[in-house]
Amino acid sequence: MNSRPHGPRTKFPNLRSIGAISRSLLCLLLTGLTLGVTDVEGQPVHVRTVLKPPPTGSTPHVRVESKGVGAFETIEIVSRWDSAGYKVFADFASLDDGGLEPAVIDSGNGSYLFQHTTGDITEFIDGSSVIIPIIAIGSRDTTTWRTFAVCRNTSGMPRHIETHIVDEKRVYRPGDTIVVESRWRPAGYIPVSIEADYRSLAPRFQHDPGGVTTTRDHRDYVFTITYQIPGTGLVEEQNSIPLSVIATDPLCSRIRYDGMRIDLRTGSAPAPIAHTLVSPADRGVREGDALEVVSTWDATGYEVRADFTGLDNGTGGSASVLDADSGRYVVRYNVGSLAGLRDQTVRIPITAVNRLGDSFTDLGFQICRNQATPGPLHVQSELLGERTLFHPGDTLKIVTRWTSPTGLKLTIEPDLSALVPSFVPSQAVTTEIEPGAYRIVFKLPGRDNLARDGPGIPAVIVARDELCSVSRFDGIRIDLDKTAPATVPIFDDLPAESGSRVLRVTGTSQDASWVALLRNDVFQFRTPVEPGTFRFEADLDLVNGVNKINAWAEDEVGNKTPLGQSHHVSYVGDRATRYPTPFVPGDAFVVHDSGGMTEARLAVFNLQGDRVIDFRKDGSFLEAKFAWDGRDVDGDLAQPGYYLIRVQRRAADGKTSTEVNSMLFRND
Amino acid sequence: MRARAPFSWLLLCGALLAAACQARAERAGAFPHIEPWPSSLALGGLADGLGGGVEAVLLNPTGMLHEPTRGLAVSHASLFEGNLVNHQAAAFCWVRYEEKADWAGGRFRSSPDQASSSLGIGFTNLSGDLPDTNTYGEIEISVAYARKMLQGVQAGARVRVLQARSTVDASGGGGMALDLGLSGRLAGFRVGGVARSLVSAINWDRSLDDPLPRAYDVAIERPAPAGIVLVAGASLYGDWQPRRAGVGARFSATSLPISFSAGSAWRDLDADPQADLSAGVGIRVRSFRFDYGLRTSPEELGEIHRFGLQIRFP
Repeated sequence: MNSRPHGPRTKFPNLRSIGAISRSLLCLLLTGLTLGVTDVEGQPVHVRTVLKPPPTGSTPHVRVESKGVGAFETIEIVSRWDSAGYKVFADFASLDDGGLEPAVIDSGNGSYLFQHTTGDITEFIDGSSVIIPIIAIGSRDTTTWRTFAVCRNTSGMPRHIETHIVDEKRVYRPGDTIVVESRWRPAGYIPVSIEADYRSLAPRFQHDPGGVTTTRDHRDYVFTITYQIPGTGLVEEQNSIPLSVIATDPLCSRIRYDGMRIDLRTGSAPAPIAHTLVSPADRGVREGDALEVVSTWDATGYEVRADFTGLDNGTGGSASVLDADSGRYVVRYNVGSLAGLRDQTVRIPITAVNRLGDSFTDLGFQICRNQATPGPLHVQSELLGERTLFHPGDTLKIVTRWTSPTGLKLTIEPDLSALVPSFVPSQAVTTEIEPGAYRIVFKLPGRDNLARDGPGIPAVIVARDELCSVSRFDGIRIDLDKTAPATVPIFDDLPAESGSRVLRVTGTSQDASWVALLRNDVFQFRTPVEPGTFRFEADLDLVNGVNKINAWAEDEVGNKTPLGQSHHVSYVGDRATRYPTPFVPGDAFVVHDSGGMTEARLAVFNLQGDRVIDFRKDGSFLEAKFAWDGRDVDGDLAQPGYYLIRVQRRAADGKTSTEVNSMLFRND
Repeated sequence: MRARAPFSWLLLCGALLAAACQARAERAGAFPHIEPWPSSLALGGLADGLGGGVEAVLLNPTGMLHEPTRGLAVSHASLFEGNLVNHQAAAFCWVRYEEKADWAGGRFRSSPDQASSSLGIGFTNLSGDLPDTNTYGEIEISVAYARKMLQGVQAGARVRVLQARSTVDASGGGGMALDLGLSGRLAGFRVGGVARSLVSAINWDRSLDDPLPRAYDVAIERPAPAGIVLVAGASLYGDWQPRRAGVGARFSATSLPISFSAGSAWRDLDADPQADLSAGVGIRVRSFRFDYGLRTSPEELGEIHRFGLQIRFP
């Protein structure tokens, strides 16, 4: 605040001086005492300062390793110095116009923790190297560490869309080429780069930018990363080796996707990948069933055999095997007599032999023999809470009760794919709260990952028992509303200046139920939108100076639009003095008092206290305007520089007030 | 004598060069002279035409030869109402001594060393708030030199490097200025004067590149009984019209390490004279001296408070 008004002053400055001298002597004494008791340490030596990493997100396989600092965000900085006991400050001026802030925690071992919540930096320019000086004060000296920098990023981070290995080959050998395609959506116009991290495959792996081709598909960046597996320097032969790609941008965003898996084979024998019972899918095997198993191996051209003797003592004859593409083999078998065999899980050995005669028998495939054992029975399921309408970010809670007639152990999991197309059961938390009763908790993701709006979307609960029986319950239906109003609020014409502290704002907001009003980027209140006409109106209190006014629209469940267009309304408060910065000859001072004045005086002084020019207006008025040609009382053009302005007002009731402001004068 | 001749010529050239420029009664804008020390402020700036010790680096450079000690001084001031403007100053000076021996009583008697020349470096920083969170600042770096001349006259010169900057676009600038000072003794009085911005050049980002307004400070002081020193002084515009004049006194207790100063000055002498009052206190602890000074403003601009610390080196 530049203007500091104060009340009427006495005409006897000598008396004021005596009081001021007394106060000042007390200040001097306190200053001396403070100097005398200050703790003593040496010159601080900086060790290391880091920004604590962001918290881990909930999206599977996607991890934000670092990011820029956004608006209204709390960051933590850990600064390590050679000793505890220093007074350590961080200067956030360059980040968000903040000031010096002391460390909130001195851990006692030289580490100091800063916590800072950024202000509204949405109108700052994003920066990739915003210096935050760290100042440590010992008694003998002060050290300022000026090389710690963060990014200021109000634009957001790149978003992972999809990453996959182009050829669906699962097993790789030395000399094979891995081709990965990764699609990322940038935040605004900030470019995205990619790098691969295959160190879990080859510990000495280094990313080769030459192996990356980049294309744009509408808004998205599509990267194709090609890598040939070397003949040496690999990890030992194993399955499910994770591969990562990392997207970066110039604003410190660094996001890792590690959802790709490959199997590495360095030997020559066939390697199994997976075996899946395709038919029957949701129950155990019965006598006479036509089984279909898809057995996946690391290559095609193998001779594959499945031994079903353990299932039916070989009464079903031999299995037929079809060599499909991409290492998949379809095994068909007609189940023979199961008489006298009890229901249980049996192991089916599957063997593959290559052209050289190398063979491998996988004993890990099991199927359920289940002639008569009933599957899980649903008892009851319901949503916790009264509502059935959900929108992004809400938490869905379901309680469900199941039983097994034969006492088999049950596994319960939700199937919310109708609600979230990319849903996997591990995203929900399922807890057995008592025998047979389960609680399922799932937090709905953002609107981009949800299905389309609709009523009655089924939330399916799946129960499995140990004999492969599967039961589903789809009686729970929820309503989804993730769609915000289509358009942002549009204000009717707002004035550039307001003479009143209260401003009536009106406008239109299509399909909205509420309009939230913000003043200077701070939420004020919500006002209802009239159904049918979609009109809104509200009285908004203004503050002195420029008021930035904007709004978002909301539907009845709180789905928000982005902020609409900003409007700037100047309010000349009860008392204000306006003038341009810099002031050049021909500009004017405006002295305002909404309570009315009978006299207004304005004088310009230099920093030596010399009066340069003064103005006066008498009468009865709300506002006085004093234009100045830049010439002093002697007619000389004033020197450029910094000046003080003294404004004196006499109100209608005779009370006077004085305020002192500053101005920058330029005589161009 | 040979060593002093070039400096004398330098002073003469400076004075001639200054005289060639037309003088006007312009008020200061950027880079004004602001009393940089609490002791200076306590006397209302009336003694700035004399100066003494390390403080003279930013006053009259010849004062470095008076009370000649090597020293360091720093100060901070809040100017006028509501902390709109802050001002800091720092100075350091070196003194070169010469030994003097007198023939008395049939043998040489050595007298205390006397300063023959002195070199000082000064720094001031001014920072002010502007509307809409803008700021303005000025930095001055001064190099001052003084030495004894003939007939007990002391002469000095100071070069100031000036830099102004602001968060407001195209409102900065920079340049240089030359100040000259003289002092001496006359009939029991110590008299002195300093001419500020005798020669100056400022290059503004967008404003007109006028030189800084020239200004003069003259002062006279005389010791009185009981540890009191009386001071009178005046500040003059470039055309020698008076800007401000007044009187003051400084009292140093003989039994206590404390001193008090007070002064009163008048300005706008030709139209509507306005008086301001000033006062200050200094406490000396060994080689350290803490000072505080205060000046009122008759124009209701608020007071000026300044704190300072001075260290004298043996």
